[in-house]
Amino acid sequence: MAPIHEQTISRFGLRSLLPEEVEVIAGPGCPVCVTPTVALDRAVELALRGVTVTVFGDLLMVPATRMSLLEAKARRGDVRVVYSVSDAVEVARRNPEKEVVFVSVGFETTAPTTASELLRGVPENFSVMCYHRLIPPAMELLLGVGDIHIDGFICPGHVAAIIGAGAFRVFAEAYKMPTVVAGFEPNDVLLAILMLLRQLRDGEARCENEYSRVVREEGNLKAQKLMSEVYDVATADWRGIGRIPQSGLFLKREFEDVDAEKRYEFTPIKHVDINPGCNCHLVMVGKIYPSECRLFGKTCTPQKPYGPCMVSSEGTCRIYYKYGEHPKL
Amino acid sequence: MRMKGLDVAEQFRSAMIAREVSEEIRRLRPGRKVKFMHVCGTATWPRFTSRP
Repeated sequence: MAPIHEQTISRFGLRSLLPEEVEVIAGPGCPVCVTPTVALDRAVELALRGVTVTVFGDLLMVPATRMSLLEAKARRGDVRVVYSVSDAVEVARRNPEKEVVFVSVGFETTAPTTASELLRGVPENFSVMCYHRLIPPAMELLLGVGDIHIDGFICPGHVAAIIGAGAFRVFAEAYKMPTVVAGFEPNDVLLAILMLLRQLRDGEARCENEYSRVVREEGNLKAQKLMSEVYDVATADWRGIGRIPQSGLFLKREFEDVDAEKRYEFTPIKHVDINPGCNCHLVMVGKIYPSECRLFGKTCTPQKPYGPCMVSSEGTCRIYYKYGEHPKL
Repeated sequence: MRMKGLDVAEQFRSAMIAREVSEEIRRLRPGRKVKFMHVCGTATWPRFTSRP
């Protein structure tokens, strides 16, 4: 099962099962969509300079300021797709004459794997561009956006498996927002909706764990320890959303020697996150549905994406395009 | 209803939960609409869970 709520909802047509009074919208959550353009621009620059850039496949077609990584590859840039940071380290070990950079993106689910690899030790020709982001600060930001009125959060089960269901408790306790940590089977999502409705009926805001077969209250303590040993938490830029306090993971000073941002110098350019006419920033915060964007399915398609949300299989626009989801507007 | 890939038992469970959702929304103030936001966050999750 794909670990994306929107994919489950669209693929199985769950919206058609719900009464029309219940609306479910997608918030931020696709790591590829929120990775700032500066990361891609720098990766492109390194690839064109002869450095081997290793990335998750989803990042290849994401539009950047000058060109995507796929275009850089077409111009003889050495861009290689890997399935994990371990594969990237293996590329570095097998090619000691080459400089290898891994573009490390993703949320709490991915960050521990990179941390684990760095703690185990990596070859000297290997470095990391670290663009990990944290989910709870983005949710907090959404609650402060005036024109987004939501009645409850369905929280990501996989993120909660790492940071614990307790990390989402703040939304119920401080913001009085009904919150349910949910898994990714169709029945998980439906049950989460039911649990949120029951909280609304009772006039209460609790943080409930629907995904108890995987998620514990305290999360995965080993993964959390790995993260705290390798990363510092600081304010970070999110593509299309802007700067969010305490929402990014950055390599600690002890890991400066494997930090590609410190190892290489980059040409200063003006990075363009959202192209003119693109509405991905509105889709990412749940202000509009993809089908409300004028470019959706016309100028912007999976074959030729104009905005980041149309690229990854986790992007909301891509999912809507694939499954022909047309919600009640 | 489009529930390809789910077996009959799962489809039945989904339908039952959806029916409860409909009943629950009726218990709220009549005409009240609710909006829930799901937030995800992944990349390589299945791979990570499969590691020792």
